[in-house]
Amino acid sequence: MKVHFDKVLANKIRNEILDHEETYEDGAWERFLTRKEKRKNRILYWYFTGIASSVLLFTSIVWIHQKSGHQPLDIQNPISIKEFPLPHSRLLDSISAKDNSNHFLKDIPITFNSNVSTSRDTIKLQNRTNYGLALKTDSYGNISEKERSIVALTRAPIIYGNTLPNVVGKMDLLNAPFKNIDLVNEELTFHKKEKDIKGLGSKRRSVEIGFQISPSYGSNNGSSQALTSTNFGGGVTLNVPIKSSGFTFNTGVVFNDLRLTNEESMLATSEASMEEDNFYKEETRMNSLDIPLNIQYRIPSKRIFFYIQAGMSSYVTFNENAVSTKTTFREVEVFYDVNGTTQSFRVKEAVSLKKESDYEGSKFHPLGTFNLSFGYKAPLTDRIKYEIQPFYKLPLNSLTTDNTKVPMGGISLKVSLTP
Amino acid sequence: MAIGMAYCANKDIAREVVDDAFMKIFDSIDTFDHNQSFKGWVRRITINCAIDEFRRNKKHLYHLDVTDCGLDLPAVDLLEKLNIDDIHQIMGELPEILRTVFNLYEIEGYNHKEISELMGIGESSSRTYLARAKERLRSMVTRHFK
Repeated sequence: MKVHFDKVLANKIRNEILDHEETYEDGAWERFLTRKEKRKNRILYWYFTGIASSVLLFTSIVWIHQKSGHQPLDIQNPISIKEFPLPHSRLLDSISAKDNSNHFLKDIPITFNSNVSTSRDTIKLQNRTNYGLALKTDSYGNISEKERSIVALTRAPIIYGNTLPNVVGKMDLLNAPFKNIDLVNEELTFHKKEKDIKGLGSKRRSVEIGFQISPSYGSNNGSSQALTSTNFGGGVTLNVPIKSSGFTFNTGVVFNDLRLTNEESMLATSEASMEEDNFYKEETRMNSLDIPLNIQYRIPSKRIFFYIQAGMSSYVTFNENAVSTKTTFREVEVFYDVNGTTQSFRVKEAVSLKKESDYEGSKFHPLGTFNLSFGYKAPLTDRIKYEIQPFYKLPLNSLTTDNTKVPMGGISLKVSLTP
Repeated sequence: MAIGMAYCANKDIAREVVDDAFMKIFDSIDTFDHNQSFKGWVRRITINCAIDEFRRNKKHLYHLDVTDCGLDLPAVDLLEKLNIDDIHQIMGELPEILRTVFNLYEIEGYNHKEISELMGIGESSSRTYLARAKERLRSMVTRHFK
């Protein structure tokens, strides 16, 4: 009986719905065009924002590379040098290194246009008929007031501070065992202490473990919607420097407490031509673990430095709780009896409906957001540094069950420790 | 609009679904295959938009009230008296998940496997929702004729 009834009912519903043609509603096309225009503006906004961001990012990268372009030098320690002009010049095929006792120290092949460069300076090799000489002195990199020097001679010593004994002091080129050497009456070498070399070794960038807190805020407002999100995160990060480059791989685990609020108001006209004002509010609270995979580029400088960072975050979400409230404000006509006469008047009533949902399961969202940030890093002590890192997260996939995507911006405060 | 009305709880949501469908239609008109039925293509897009709307509200769809069953069924002949407004009213009272499953199965002719893929629910859930939808409809129609 029930089966037959259901079958007939389903047929009836199907036929009625398929045969039904809804009459055109006045203003429907205009309403559609208005929405379409708003959508178009929104797309243009994101389009131009995207172009502007890309140009800015590209310019930054080019600028950073121009500032920091350097070729690694195949000598034991980095050097910064001051030019020592010589009256003649000729290019060298090779030079060799000697100390003041005329012991050869190192053979360094140098070809035409070879640039022996540091982060800022380029050594220019100059020579005379039988010898060439270049000397530069300067402080370098992270080691303030520690100097290196280099002397280059045609088929003659290239002597730089790192390889000289502590007591070298002055280099007497007149006594160098080469013919046709002009007098070069300059102090060529500088005292170098053993700790300088040790210092260099210890200044290498190493793995850092950091602890961070990161409040953030985001909003995504549509035509009649106001979507806002606040998030508070805290967790552990790990910075692993990539060898021989200014890049660092950044990852970690950050616990997030996310709150999303979606408010929407809608003015509708009821059948009795009375206005209804519908107000929807949806509040979602969710916990998640953020697993970032970022690449950080360090802008070269001394102890304090800036960096830019970009990458993706994957998320494990759990404990999603959503509360949806719909409130309808509408005018209603109330009839009442006064001394046998029925009178009516209009009052405004509010009807509220609330639903709550809980999801306790966990879900993995690969590539949830695209991360872009820049930061400032400075030491607190020799092993502890602090970082201030404003960031922007662009959602690629929604983390919530209702496909909400909200771009967020915030600031991370980190303390990192070198083990 | 008729398709939107069949899938949505009220006219406001149906309007939004239809607007979204028209935007998609204008955006992808170049991809329309002229060997196929234009009406069918539009219908398909509208149904997809209705399913998107369903997905957006998915998190609130698991709250199904337990309703009274076991009412005496009215005579089958009485069903002929139902008009489109009655049907919209009855369908509008159905929870969204039940209404969508019912429409996809009974009106569009999808099977449970296809419905489960479209809506992101289990195949057995689809069967359960269809059974519940029919139960609800039976109960509502019975009340309607009382």
